[in-house]
Amino acid sequence: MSSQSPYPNGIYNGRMECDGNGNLLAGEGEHAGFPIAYHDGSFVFVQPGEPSHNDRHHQRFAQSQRPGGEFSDVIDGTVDESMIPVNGDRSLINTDETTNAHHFGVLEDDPHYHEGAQTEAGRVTNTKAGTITDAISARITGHTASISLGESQQ
Amino acid sequence: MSATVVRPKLIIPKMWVPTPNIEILFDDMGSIFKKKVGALIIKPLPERLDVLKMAGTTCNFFCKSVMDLVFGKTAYTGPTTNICFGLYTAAIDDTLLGNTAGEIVYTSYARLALTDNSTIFAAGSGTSTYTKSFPSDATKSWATATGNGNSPATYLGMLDGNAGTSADKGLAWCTVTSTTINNGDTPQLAQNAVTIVSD
Repeated sequence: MSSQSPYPNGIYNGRMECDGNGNLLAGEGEHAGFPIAYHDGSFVFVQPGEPSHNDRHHQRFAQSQRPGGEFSDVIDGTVDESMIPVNGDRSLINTDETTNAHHFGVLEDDPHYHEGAQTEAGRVTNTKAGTITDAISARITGHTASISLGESQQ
Repeated sequence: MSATVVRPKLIIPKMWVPTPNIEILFDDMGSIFKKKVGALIIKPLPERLDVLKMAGTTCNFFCKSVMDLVFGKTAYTGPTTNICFGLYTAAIDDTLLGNTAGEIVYTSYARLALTDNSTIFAAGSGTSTYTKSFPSDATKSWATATGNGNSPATYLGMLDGNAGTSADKGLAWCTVTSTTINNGDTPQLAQNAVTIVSD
């Protein structure tokens, strides 16, 4: 008894496309648009109720490669709670021969170091932005705020 | 008795821009942006440049079609049915066509053919700068690899067809983070992963 199914049987040879939802499709010919799947070295038409191509073969989603060759959701160079400081020094996290240590605080020889300085949010950063009066730009642009925030020129 | 007139010397500061430690800027950043900036800063220079060189644009065919449609009413109805997304292992550019070399090779690879409608390619936002992101309805998957890829995918090309010939016209392209496709891997295009900005 021959099958009345509109779904074709057998092997498909031809150009393929995928629909984004896990289905590999025949891309040309009279059966264009019908689902196919890889099976034993060939592409065969998928019958109703059978798993799609991706359902048959999916193991993992492809992940982008991070520098260093490891797969990770963590962006290199950032720090979160899951990372363990190297020898107790957080500045050495993620560093190796090719990257510089990252200092989380302002070093004491930094011209902006100001012990006890806080952000507006109240976090102690020991950092104070240096300001310098730019009298020329204030005159030209009318941005007098730079005068009022800095030292008076009068 | 003589007097000396002391003329005050006008001090003109040089153009010096205060440069506080970068952390002082971080309080105003969202955590995601903070991570991205931090990641970029700490990368070795070659990798930093790779990130900065990430690029993409619309293709020659796209620009010509839209321009001729507006100036001259030369008919252009867009892709017939689908917009096809191809993965490339070598650089592509504005001249992209369906037979451009460098398309990835892995067993079961096929271009991702997304129906060109306003569900998947929803209207964008903005006036002076118009931003459109897609696929707007859901994450889309390429066919799962049943064999290893020849090289990592580094470019994404969008075409108006899937013939595999020069009949497929390039619409847009961009770089993607280098992604190796191995047997069993399913490449995905995350929801709204692609953004085109026009200003």
